[in-house]
Amino acid sequence: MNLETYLTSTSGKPYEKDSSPHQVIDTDILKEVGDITRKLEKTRNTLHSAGDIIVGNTPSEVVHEGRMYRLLRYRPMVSKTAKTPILVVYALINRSYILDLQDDKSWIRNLLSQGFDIYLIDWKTPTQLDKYVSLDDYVNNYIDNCVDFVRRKTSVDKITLHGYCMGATMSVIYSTLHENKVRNLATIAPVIDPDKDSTVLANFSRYLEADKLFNSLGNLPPEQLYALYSSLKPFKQGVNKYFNLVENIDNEAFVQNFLRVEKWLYDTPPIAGETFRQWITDIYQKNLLVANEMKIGNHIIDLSKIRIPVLNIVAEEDHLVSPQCSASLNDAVSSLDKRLMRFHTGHVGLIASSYSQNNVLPKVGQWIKARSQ
Amino acid sequence: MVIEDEVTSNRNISNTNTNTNADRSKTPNDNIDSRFIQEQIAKVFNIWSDISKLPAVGPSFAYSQNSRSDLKELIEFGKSFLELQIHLSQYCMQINNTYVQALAKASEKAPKQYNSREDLEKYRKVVIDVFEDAFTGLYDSKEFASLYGLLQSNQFDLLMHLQKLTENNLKALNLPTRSDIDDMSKDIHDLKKTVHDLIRKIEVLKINESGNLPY
Repeated sequence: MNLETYLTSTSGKPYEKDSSPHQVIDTDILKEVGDITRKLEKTRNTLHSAGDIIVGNTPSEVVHEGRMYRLLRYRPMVSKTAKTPILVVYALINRSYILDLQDDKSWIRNLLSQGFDIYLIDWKTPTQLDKYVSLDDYVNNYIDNCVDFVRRKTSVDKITLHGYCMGATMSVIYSTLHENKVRNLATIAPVIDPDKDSTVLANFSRYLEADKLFNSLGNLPPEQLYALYSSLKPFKQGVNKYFNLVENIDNEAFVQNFLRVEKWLYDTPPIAGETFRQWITDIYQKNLLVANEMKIGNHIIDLSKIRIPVLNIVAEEDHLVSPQCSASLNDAVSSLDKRLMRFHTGHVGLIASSYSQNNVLPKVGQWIKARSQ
Repeated sequence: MVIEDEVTSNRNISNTNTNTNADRSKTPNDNIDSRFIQEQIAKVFNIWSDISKLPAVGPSFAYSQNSRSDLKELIEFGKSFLELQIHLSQYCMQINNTYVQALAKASEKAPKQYNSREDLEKYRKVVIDVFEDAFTGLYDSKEFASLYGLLQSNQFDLLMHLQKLTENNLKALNLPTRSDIDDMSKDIHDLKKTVHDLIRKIEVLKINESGNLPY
């Protein structure tokens, strides 16, 4: 819309080019224009002076460490109400602090407040020397090391494995191979059956030449992921969020939340080449996982081997992993005690929002607690 | 063959000269020797010429292989670059078409009059929705995903050609190449895995011996 149309519509009088602006522009419009300018100015200053954005506030300590991971144990907040500790397996995309973004939206803090003993695998950044690190290493080496450490430390024979996104898929794979060490499996938005995945991410993954990427780039660089992010809800999230920021620049809580999420979005480590190659070709392109034909190391992954209690948490509006893609897990496992929880939110909203604090976590905590004594 | 022709023609000139000037001072043996030597020299040059043209053994072979491999990579680089240009223009065309279509749709939905700020806000949402639908539709399509895959594939190809060219130069400078580092990374990775598996096996043996639980 041009200025002429706008002025005509707001003043209720036809705009004449030779008329004096004072006759047309009313004070409300001037006020609004002034307000927009002020907000833009404040947005610029806020973004320039944002400095360090504090995330991951919940106190924790590194209890075990390997070349590719750190195992964190969160300090209990209340007395323990569940005997079985929870080991959270984070994804390989971006950083694990999304689970502890800010106090009032922290997945970790909420579980702690429910009396769980929480451990989290925080993946380190792979270098070019780690390009041959495979899913087999992640599952049978790093996760297995952490599981054993937690079992030793807490003197229990089985733990609750709780994975998010890629971490959920790895937790599923782990459970098929080491069921004797897992009491419960709780997954959030796992990638299980990508043939049912209708997201842009799945569409692009089907046509990606992962072998060539591996041979030319080695690890998946963050720039590739940024290009992908920009194609996911490009206007509703990509453009509109900045309009919303300007609109809400006077709301300190909104601004801080925006900055934290933005920091997380662009805090992207590379993904080890061989792991990513296998993830794309075996899972997204050949769909081997749900067909029980995927090979990890020397083992064929058979999802029907899972007989432990399974809780599968999915988001109806997930634009990264379609809920149908995740829900297939419940059909694939042999567990008698299995539950699919669906929530009306998105991939990140499922774990880091007020909605998840009020609607998701109480139910998840209740389910796990009932199976952790 | 050039050398033989030249030598033959020189020989003819030389023969003509000898017939006219110095023939009388030379013995028949001298003529035979010089002819023999010239023929031998021509032969040797011709053989070397053929060797340098179609080398199969020795350092010439190695040197020519390097330059030939560089040339091949440059040609392949050019081909990949051309393909990239084609796919990039198709990519831009699809993006541009989608943008123009969305713009047209957004204009159609524009209200005739704006009476308040809310009207503007509403229209902003309409524009965002229209563009979102148009571009998500594009990104959801098989055609675009396939084109994007090709575009990326061309970029990976270009990178690999550059890497091969660089590798050749690094080899010539006697410096370690990326392939060397990759080989070492693979060896280290495999060794680590072997060590990890051995440690696990030892733990299992210890548990079996003591009868204790693993924790």
